[in-house]
Amino acid sequence: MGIVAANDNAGDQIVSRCQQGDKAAFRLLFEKHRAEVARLVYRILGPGNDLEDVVQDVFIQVYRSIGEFRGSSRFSTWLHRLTVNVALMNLRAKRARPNLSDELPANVPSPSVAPDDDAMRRERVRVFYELLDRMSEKKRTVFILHEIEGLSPGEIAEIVGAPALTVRTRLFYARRELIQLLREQPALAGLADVMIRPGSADLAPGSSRETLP
Amino acid sequence: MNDPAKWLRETAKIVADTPPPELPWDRIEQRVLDQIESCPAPRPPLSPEVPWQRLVAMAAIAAASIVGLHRITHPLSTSAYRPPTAVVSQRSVTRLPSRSTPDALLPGMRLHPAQPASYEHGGWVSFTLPAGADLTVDRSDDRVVLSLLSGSVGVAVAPGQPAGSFVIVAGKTAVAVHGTRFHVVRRADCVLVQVEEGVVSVGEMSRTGPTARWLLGAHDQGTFSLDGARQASFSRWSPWRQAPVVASQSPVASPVAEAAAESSAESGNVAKPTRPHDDPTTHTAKPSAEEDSLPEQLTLALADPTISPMVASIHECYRSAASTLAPGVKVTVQSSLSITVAPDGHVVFARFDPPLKPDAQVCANGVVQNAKFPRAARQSQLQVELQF
Repeated sequence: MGIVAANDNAGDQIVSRCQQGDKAAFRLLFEKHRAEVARLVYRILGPGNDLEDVVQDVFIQVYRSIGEFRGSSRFSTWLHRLTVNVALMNLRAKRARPNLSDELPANVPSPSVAPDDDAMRRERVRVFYELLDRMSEKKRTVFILHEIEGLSPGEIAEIVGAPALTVRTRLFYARRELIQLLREQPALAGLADVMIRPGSADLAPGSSRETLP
Repeated sequence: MNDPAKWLRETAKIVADTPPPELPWDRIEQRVLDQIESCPAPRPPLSPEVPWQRLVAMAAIAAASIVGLHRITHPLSTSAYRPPTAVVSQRSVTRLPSRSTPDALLPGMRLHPAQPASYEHGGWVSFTLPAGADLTVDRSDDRVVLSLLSGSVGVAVAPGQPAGSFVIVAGKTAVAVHGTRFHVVRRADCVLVQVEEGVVSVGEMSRTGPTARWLLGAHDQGTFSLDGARQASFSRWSPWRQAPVVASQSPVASPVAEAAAESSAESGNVAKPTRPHDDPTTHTAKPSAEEDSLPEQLTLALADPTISPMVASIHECYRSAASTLAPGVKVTVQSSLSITVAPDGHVVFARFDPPLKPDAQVCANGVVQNAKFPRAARQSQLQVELQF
């Protein structure tokens, strides 16, 4: 699920040419990695964020910093690390600004599901990211990289620059904190509770609860 | 909730299965390419680092800083402290040389002079670039925005200009002007700002303009990280004793070495009687009776005569800026205002964390920079919690 490895020969050549300031090679690099970068940024930030701007910032940062890539790790790992850092910087900047907007996050319609299911799914994802927003950056990062990106603790350790054991510890505490938050926050727990009942909007209070398969 | 762990697992799977929205890749690519056109080429790759190379590099930096320190602290030296860099006379900033090119700034223009050169725009701003400095013009209409890619720039802005009318961007850090004279030096991973007169705000360059994370007053100097000035360190400088650092070529390769030299100079190992970074107002040979009666530092209670009206004015700034909210919408915002007050009562710098809404921030900055606190024997740190 992670960013596609780019340490094949062609990838190495592209990176090497980029390091010499070859803009044509940089375009190739952009086209090769843009989808993976967008996916990772989207997963870190969640819906309703400045995805386009952050992806742009990532590639500008790639261009500026590619000279520092020494080949001691895979390029994909380096790119992953840089993407995570830029996304987290965006989160920090967003938190530092008082949010005076009451705009709702942009919807991302999924054509394969009915509108009601789609709305429920969106609400569920929104609650999920609201929970993540209450966690520390470190725990949020390892949780997303492991549970959503599907990376192993070893791979995450390379990206976040921490020992694998530390990553496992953060994962453990991240899960525990999320579960605790779900239990302790009545509003969130209520929302999550409603959402594990399919078609809950139409259910009368006291209806039997069904868990997801 | 029956099983939160299961809910989390399933939601994580939903998120993992949800593709990101389709992005306008052509537009993004174009914007990225436009941006990198104005970037310097990437630094060449470094060879894999080995411990002995790191040791040699550290030794070289240490040696450089010792040489710099020796120049500063040599007991026979009669010259006042100067940063260990080449300097250009301050007069070159305040007096427009004959090579000035009035109103010649156009967006997209790149200024990379081989010799020191000065420029003037609109009759209200002039700046000087030393040889080798590299700068691009991002905007030159009612607001002038320059990107400093390398080197340094000395700027003089006529008083009375609106806040943010002249901005220098280094990385994501923006240095905005409030009618003043100041110097900006871009280094590898930081930017140095020295203020001669007036007030300069330093913060992140957002899409709507510069934000004010820090305020520097006259004779302040600050070193800021390039990520929007999230990291900063401050000291005082005296333009009549220290020429501004407006040259890009420095005998000290690393800002670390220079920082070490500067901090050593501050530690007091300097030939008396001059201490380079100290505020001259804080050091007199013999304190007067009035100074004896001064409090050591200001407290919130002592500063209350200034703080109360200041906070009221900041609230007014916020109310004015927030008046566009829809009826019935109530927004509560908290911000922490940290202020450093010089012994003579003027505000050395201030920081709102988090920053306010831009309009309110500009107004609040004006309130804070004009505040006059009671005197104290030493510099004071005050923290005021604000809730709107």
